[in-house]
Amino acid sequence: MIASQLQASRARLFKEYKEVQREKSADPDIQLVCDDSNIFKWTALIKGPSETPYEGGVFQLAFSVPEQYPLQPPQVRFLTKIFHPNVHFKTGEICLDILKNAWSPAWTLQSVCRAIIALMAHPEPDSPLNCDSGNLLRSGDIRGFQSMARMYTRLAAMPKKG
Amino acid sequence: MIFRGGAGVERADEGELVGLGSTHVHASEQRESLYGMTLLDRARNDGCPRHHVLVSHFVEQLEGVWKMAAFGVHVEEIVAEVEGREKGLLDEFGVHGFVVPQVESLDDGAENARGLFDLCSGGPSKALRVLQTMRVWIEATDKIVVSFSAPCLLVLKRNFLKYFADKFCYNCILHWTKVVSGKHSHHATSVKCPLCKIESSSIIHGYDGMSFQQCYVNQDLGNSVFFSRAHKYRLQCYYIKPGTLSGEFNVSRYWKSYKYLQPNRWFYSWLKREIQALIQEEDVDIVVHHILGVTDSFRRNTQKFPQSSPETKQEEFKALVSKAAKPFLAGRTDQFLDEVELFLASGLNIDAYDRVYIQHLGWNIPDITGEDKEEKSHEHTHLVPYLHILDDDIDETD
Repeated sequence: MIASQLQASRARLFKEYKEVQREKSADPDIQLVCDDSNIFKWTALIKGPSETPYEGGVFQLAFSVPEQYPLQPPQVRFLTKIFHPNVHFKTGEICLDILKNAWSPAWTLQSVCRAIIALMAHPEPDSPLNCDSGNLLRSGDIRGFQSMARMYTRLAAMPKKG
Repeated sequence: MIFRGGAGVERADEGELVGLGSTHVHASEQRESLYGMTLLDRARNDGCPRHHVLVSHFVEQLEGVWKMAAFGVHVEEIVAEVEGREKGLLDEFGVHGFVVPQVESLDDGAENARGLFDLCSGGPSKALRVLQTMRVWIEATDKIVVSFSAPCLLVLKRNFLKYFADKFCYNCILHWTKVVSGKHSHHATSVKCPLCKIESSSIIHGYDGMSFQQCYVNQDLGNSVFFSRAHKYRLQCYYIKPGTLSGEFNVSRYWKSYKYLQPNRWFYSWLKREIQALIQEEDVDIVVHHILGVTDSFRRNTQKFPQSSPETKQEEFKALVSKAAKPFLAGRTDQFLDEVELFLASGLNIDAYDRVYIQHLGWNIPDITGEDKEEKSHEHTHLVPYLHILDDDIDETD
């Protein structure tokens, strides 16, 4: 049973891999790459959504896929530092329902990336992992939040010039 | 989790609510262009308790529309007709038929269309529309349907089951159901479709053009009051080769010696149990009375024509009962007819009949008629053969 589950998740990930290869250009905001030696480790580069403080930044995500995938969600965290209410500032852990209770096996790694981009554009300050960021938004200091987020985007998520 | 063999018809529990505001992604794309949506929408949007209408309602009321082979139907026509004529009925019940065409090999869309084309005289485009309509219909009912044509979303590959409708390998969705119910401490009796999140209380699979298997999520049929051990044994009898018992009782003598002119006082109870076992519903009175009425009137009328041959009588009887039973028993009707004949010809009461039957088959089912002694055990899962979960589909490649 366990062996077959492992085989199933491997097969599924392989399908996703082929899908990603085939539609590389379909979603220019997401670049999903599988580890050379381990199909259960993936990284993704996602572009910060426009008209947000993350615009212009490129954020790196690390995927750790469990052997029970897709019955269990992948573990995803930001490798790039990001100032966002639902992302832990130190560990990069993401608070997103579909990665926890609301997971459904119909999600793919690609669609998870899309969900994370959507989360960047629409933070949920009421369930914060980054309290400072959440408090700024909750107290209505949009400008303060945006400037902090923009600063970290520039510091951490943009290629150094010169 | 329990597995049941269904006979092509089923009815959901009363009082079940339609999920309000549930988005219905995949169906909605095709929605506008299809007939019948108003009805489904109404049932859905009202949020009122939804009763499933037995498919047989439609079959019975709309005879003549039923054109395609096996179980397939011109759904559109039915829906259109239903809309025109049967508004009262639909208002009362909400809608829900369950119709699936029987299609052979189905590896791609072209095959799909061709398979349907054979069944449906209207040409490929019509066939395609029928397919779509049915897809929506099926999605609109509260079941997750296991399919053959679309790739399974859980392993992202075409599954090899050859059943029409939708999205999952049976094993995958079953697996997911277990994972979900393992997460919740309470005993969930439904599972959400991973894609559209609509709650389903059962998974339908194994559709073979005549009947389907239905797997109820975490429901133990063994707990239900009416479905006794004897019911299980009767249902099981429909999985053995037909005609195995024909030597045991002399059917032709039954007809030749005019035994059919005498009423059989055990017939009612036997028939009730048989129908209950086959359609797995407790309340089968309507069906039973319908069939009894038909047999009674046969007995009355047949006395007026004593000159016809026993064979003619037999044919006549079978045709009548078949017509009465078919809407409810679908693909199992013929076998049911044989069983009816056997029971009547045996002249035995139920207890004695069961004993002879079981003895003949060589089954070891102790105390089949002692319904009170029914144990709550896991045994019943293997009483219905070939419904075991197989775990070996994952290395299939496409």
